[in-house]
Amino acid sequence: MSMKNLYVKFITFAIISATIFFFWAHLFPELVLVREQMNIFIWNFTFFKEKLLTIGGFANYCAAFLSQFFYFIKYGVLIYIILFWFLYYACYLLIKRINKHFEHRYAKIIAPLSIISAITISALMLRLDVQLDFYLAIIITFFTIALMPSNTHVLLIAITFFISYWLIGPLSFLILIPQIHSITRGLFLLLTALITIVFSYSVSYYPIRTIFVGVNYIWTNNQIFGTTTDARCDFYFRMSMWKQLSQMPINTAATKHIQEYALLKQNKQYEEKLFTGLADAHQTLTGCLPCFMMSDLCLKLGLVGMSQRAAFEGMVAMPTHQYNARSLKRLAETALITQQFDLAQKYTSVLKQTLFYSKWANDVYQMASQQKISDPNYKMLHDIYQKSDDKFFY
Amino acid sequence: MKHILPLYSICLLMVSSCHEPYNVTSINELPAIYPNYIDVTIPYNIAPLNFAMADYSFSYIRATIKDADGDSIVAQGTEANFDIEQWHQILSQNKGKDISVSVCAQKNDKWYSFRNFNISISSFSLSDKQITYRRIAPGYGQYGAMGIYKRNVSDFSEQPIIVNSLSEGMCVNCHNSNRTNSQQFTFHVRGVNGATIVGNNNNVDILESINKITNSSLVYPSWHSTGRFIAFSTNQTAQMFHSHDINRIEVYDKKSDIVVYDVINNRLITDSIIMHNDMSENCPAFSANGDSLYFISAPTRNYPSEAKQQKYDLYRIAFDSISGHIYGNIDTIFSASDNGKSISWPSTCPRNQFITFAVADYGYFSIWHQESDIYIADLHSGVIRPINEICSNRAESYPKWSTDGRWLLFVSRRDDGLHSRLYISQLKDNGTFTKPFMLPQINPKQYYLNQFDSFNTPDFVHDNNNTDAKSIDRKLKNSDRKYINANN
Repeated sequence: MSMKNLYVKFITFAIISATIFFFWAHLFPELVLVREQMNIFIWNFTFFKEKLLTIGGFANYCAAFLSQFFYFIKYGVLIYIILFWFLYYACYLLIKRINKHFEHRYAKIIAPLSIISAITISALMLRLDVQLDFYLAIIITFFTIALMPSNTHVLLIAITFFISYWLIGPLSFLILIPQIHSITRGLFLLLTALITIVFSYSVSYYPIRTIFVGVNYIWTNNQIFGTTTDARCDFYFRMSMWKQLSQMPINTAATKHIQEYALLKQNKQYEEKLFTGLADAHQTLTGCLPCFMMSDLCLKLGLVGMSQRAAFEGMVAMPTHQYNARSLKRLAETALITQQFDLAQKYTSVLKQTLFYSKWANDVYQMASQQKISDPNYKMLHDIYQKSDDKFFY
Repeated sequence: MKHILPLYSICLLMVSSCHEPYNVTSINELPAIYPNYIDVTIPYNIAPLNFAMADYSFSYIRATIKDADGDSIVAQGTEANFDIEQWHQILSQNKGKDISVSVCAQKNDKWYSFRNFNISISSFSLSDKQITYRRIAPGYGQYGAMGIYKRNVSDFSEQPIIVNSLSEGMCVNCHNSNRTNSQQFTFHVRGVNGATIVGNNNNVDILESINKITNSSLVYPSWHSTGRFIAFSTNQTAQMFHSHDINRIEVYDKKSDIVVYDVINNRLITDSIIMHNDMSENCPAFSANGDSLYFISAPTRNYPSEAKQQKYDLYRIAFDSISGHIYGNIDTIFSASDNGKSISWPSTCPRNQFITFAVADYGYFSIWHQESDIYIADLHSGVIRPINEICSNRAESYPKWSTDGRWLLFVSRRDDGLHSRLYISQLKDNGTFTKPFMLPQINPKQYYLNQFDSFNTPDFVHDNNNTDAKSIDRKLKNSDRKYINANN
């Protein structure tokens, strides 16, 4: 390879990486941050074992592992860049292999075609219903197809398919396609696929449709989680970007409440107005992201019980049917503030086994085990909680 | 190759000897273990009572169980998980006797031994082979993964009866079997594929979710002993939340009534006595012999202003098991409202002598009331008392009897005040109860730590028959709903 070629490749690599960085970090940072809330990663063997017991569990485990780093936007963007180049290389190998069948006629366009393919697939990460599992499963599947020789023994293909189906999900069906050279081979592979599906259905508790389309590739009921607009509002709220938040279109009852708060922070609103309508909380708790926002807002307003409820609803409503760290943290906080120390210990015991919440969890765990709220902020909220009258809300 | 086996054996020996207690410091205290199985009484066919040190700073535990004959079994690790076969053997050898448990635990490389404690092996087995329960996050409006499960009492095997991963958006509740007969069961499905499912031996009926007669769902069930009738409550349920109270939620009914469903003739039998306009009748429970129907009732209140005034009393009325009609006068069994209390979830003992129920300060959804305790009424002597020996300072509710009337299964939030766990206690001949034990699990500390679901609406099931969750799900999705006929 000539120096010029290498230089061109390096420049292309740098420009594309910088573009991806700018795209995610500056144009859509909320869609990076939100990924961390779609999952939790616990550093113990039980968590690993439970993931592997589900179809596509290994992809889900890897997605959970990577998702934890999205806690910091720059790490999340870095992961997206790395994954992009892995995907590019997988596409490159795959297209190159396909090109063999065309007698290498299209060698010159392999690289640009790979870039376009990688960009198209990566753009799916703009959608909140498409999970990181899907992205990882595509990369693994493309690599497997590209690296598996076309004359692989049919039994080896069957075993590879069976294992990869369980580990990464139904995208592994694609592994079989390039291996069909004859009718007999095709029938055998079809039989393998059918046996795999029947076996998976018999040992798991998902409908056949889910077995085909993947347990955790796409969140079909994603309206429960929230929209990209919700994600943006939540991002502005968490980053205290009040001006930007107040300029967002109001699309949900939750957004309306946090915009009132944004106006208050800009001295454009009365504090009393913030409490209007909060008693009908159920109208705001329409999805996970609205729940998280309302939980944050209520805690800022000293409404600990409502904050706790919102966090709980947000956690329970997760499409993945698992808890997430943000909710657990809030539940631990509110349990501590309301002196439910056993509960605070339970939540923080789990969070102690995460990467970025463990230090905080250790501190709160100590407070809960000593039954003493030493953090001044939590102490203040506790005092407000103790002095407030009990009221009903919905 | 010939060196590998001895080398491997040496390595194994070294690894295991690292966890042999040495320089043990004796502490003259009972060990703080989780779950707390100290001095409990257990049926001789229960699964191993695995446990761990409650304190996380202990990294290793070694538990030894010894009987009077000197036989012993050992469990060690981060949690003490006993071998199932060894466990059952030592239990079967010691029916009616005590076994002694000694615990050694390691903390910061130091070993400590604690005072021995006893576990009493009852001379009675748990006559019912399985327990059913719903597992659901103790949530509010939203709900996530949930299911109704069957758990074998002698081991740790758990099988789903129905889970909502099979149908996204489905909510399942109130599984109830007829006197622990798993072939006669009912449960309710809300949301996607909503229906009331009634299983009657080999026949499974999928009833309409909301019947046209009462214009509401059939909610809390109780089977008649003949299997011909099911008493249901029909409830317009709502909930509201406390902003500053340890009891987070109030679940209440704007209106509720009781109806009787004739399983054979598919008809709903209604009677104004248990559908009074100004009263909220709820929580039906047939007596063991089927002659009576117990229920709770309270004047209908306005919410939220009158929430704390809603106090239910326990009543009984005669039931004709031929026609399916109630008749006669209503007897007041316990007027809890006179004592400023409220009753819920009556459960009749198969021996016909006792009835248990939950008592809280107000309302009927007692699991959300920390003050809720379980009471027992002796129907022969008329004595009513709280079962203090099984209650804690947190919520206990939903008592259920085993087929032989010796064991009481109930739900308790004593662990952390929020997540409901299942406990079992034995009724002794003198009318008192033994210290309850938590439903055993493998690695119970890790299991319950990571368990964010509550166990609710538990019940015993007598047999070991398998239920196919997928076939029920297919029926739910594919079957036309059966319309219930009005009483003729």
